[in-house]
Amino acid sequence: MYLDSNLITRFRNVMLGNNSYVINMYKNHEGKNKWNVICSAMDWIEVSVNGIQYIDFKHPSQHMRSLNVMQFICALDIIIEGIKQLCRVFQIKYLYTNNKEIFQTEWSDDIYFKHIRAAFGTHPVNLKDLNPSSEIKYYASWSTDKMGKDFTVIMYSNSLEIESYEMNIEIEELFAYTEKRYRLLEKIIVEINKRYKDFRAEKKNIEIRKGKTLNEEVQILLEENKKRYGKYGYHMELKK
Amino acid sequence: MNHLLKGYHSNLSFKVEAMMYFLGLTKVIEEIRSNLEKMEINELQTYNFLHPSPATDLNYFYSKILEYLKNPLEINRRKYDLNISILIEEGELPEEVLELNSEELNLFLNIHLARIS
Repeated sequence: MYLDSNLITRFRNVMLGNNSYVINMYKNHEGKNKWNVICSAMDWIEVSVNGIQYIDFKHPSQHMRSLNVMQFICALDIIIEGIKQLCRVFQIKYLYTNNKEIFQTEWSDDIYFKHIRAAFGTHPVNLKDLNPSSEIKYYASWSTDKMGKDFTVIMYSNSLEIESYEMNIEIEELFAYTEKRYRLLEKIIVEINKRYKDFRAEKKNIEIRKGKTLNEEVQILLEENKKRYGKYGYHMELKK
Repeated sequence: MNHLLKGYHSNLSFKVEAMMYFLGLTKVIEEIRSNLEKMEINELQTYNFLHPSPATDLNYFYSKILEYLKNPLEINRRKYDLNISILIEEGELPEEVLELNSEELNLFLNIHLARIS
């Protein structure tokens, strides 16, 4: 199982292409450098998408398998957080906030996934109940592939009344959950290409006035280049 | 171009050569203007005029001098002095270049490199 690495490559090409449209628009957007968020999300999504195929669920050491499951879930979490950040930066609606399609629990898939992440690695020794009004604490065992589904943890509680229970995960299900959100990159690609096309159409064929001297010509072109491409485009040639 | 133009003034010792070079620069300006109006970023056909790169074994020495002029860090100063001396000794540059300030020298080198390209 894997996620389509061509998608993040295509996404990167759109972010870096279009004559630097994205960096120029988002390096100072509403008073914040949003280009840095884009780069970070893009880098870590790529690392996770390309790296998870090397995670060894069959490692001979049980301890290592536990750590590998944790790493796998964290990698998926990075992809999803990256997608959410990109949706936020580009002001594109994140479609799955309340979606329950994959895990089919009473909680949204996003909330349930965070619970999986906590139990299988990030906070196993200090877990809250999924019900936010509950004060019961849970503590997870190490994960094992010797019980129910692909991997299982036993959830113990601090309550004398509550029996411990198994929490199971299926790798295929986690992939399906992530894939659905990862595919939002397609939507962002289409939207950014459209925004660039509109921007280009708006600026195209606007006549640029001529200067009386060479020096004035260069200053005018520097200004016009800035309006279109910021410090990209022909900035270097004009500044040289 | 901005930086090149800063090297020009009415008392320049190579004023005629500079004026001729600037005539060539107007072609670069026209090409940039046209591309900006079309919203196209293409590699300039006049690129070699702006970034002359002559087929000479001495390119390395020129590049080190231009690098220092662009970014005059003290750490590069020794290389700059050394490479200027080499080009003067080789008869590539006249000794008078030592009397030019950095902006004048930058313009002079671009004119010189464009001519031998």
